[in-house]
Amino acid sequence: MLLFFSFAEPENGPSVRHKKIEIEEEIFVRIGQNDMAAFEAFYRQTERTVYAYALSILRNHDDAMDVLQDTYLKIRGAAHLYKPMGKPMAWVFTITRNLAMSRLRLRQREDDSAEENFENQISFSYVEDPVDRLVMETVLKILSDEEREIILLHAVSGFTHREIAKNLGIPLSTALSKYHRGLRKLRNYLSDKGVRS
Amino acid sequence: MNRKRLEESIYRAVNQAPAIEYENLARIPVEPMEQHDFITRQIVKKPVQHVNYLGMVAAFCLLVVLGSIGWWQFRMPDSVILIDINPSIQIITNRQEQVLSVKALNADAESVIAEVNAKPADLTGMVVQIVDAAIQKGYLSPQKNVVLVSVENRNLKKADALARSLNDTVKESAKAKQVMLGVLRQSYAKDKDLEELASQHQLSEGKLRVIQTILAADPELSLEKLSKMSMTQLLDYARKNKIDLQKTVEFDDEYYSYDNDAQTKESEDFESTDEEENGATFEEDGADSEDEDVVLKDREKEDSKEDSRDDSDAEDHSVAPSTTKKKTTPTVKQETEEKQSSDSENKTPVDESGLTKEQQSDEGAVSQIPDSESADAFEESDTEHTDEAAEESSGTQEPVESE
Repeated sequence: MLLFFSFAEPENGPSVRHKKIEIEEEIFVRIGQNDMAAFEAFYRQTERTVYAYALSILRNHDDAMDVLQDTYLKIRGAAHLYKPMGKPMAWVFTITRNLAMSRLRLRQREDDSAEENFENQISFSYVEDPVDRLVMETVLKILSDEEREIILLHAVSGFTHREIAKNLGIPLSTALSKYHRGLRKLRNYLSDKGVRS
Repeated sequence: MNRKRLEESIYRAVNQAPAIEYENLARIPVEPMEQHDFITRQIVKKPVQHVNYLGMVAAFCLLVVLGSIGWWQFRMPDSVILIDINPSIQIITNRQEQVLSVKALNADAESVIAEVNAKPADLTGMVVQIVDAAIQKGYLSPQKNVVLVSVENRNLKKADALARSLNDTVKESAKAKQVMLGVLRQSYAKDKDLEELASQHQLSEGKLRVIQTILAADPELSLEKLSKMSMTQLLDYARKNKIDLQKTVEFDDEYYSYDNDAQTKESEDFESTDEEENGATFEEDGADSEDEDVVLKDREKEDSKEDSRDDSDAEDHSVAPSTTKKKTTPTVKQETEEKQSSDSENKTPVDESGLTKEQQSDEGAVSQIPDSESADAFEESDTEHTDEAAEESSGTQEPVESE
């Protein structure tokens, strides 16, 4: 069944304006000293990016929210142990990934058929625009893990490909190739579904 | 959909997702961790090194090529040095003047090379050992004291410099053994034809060049005959026959001009033995003999004049061999050699003909080496009149050189 959608440009013009995440490593020192103002600033600046990353791994909003919360609690609990290495967001992504993987393992242990059922449960009812919802569902459905991570981080956080590669610990060439391959997959899939710009 | 619209779509979808209220998050109590757990541990990843295999292969190839060039240059023969006494020895060196190989070009040379114990890498050390061995084997002595050093190199300047350096080395090493040598040297570029010809006659190319010069002046001689002569004999023959070897070799003027009785004797010994063995001799041209007689007569006249002027000189002349057809005034070098000959007399040296000096005198050899008495007397006067003798020697050299 082909669906035909058309993009309606928002009235206020281009609505997407990436806010560049600029995190200094010193912020973990302040968080480690229980500086809640620093923690709040950190949370507000990075929360959507961490959520997007968790979502790219878990492909489920509720699990992503749980991992998001656990990530920030872990950061509060271990910030004083952080050793500056020049990549503050890499540590955050490491915590998010470890928590997400733990949750995935737990989910698989609970029910072997959960993964199959999960794919049928992907739905983003909170997304108002049907095209946006379809795009989001398609991203989580057809892209590989790495393609998903890279495309979501690039779209949400505004990180450059170089920063994504650095924070995820992968070669730049890999980040670039997976990004473009993922976009091509998306375009082809959506085109087949009759989505036009 | 283009990339930008896709990303905007994703951005809007993610931003519309419900978020955790910060206040709720901040209210959750958190205990500071004592150490990292497996969730919070910081992974120290080594920077991903992109191994450029092509670069590695290229670098390896470059290394191999450079190494090969270096090794090739090290092993590449640069100079060929020929040392001719009668033994003819060939030394091949590289650009750094390190010895690559030592080769005997005749049977005599093999016995000399056998005496060279260690084979030093440096050329000077090798030459010193060869000279020492030649002296030890009796190929070099006060009676047989001419060495030809030939250097072949594409760069004639380098060849000449090396020849001069070896000239000094040979002289100094022989001097350390109380043997005064006359060293001839020559430098030239490679000549394959000459090399082959020399190889056919078991000669060194350097010696062959000298022989060819003599043959050019005296075509009646044969290469086979001359090739059997030592350098001492060749030089003496050339001198007697007024053959200008300076076209071929460079040598110390003092040596070439002074009249070495010992050499004359050896040369004549060779002639006599050669005559006995082959039933023929390489006689000097009649004109040459006449010229030489005229010169000798002039010398005798000069000597008699000098006798009347200086009694002490007269005494010296009486000591010097006057029975030969050669000049009789000794030079400083001759004096030294006479000392050596008197010293070596106790050893009863045997020359190439296999005869002792006594045997030679018995057989009526024309020239004689001064006996020990005359040598002693010569030594006595030597200390008093060295300067005068030197002056005389320079005076007596003139007619010889004019020859």
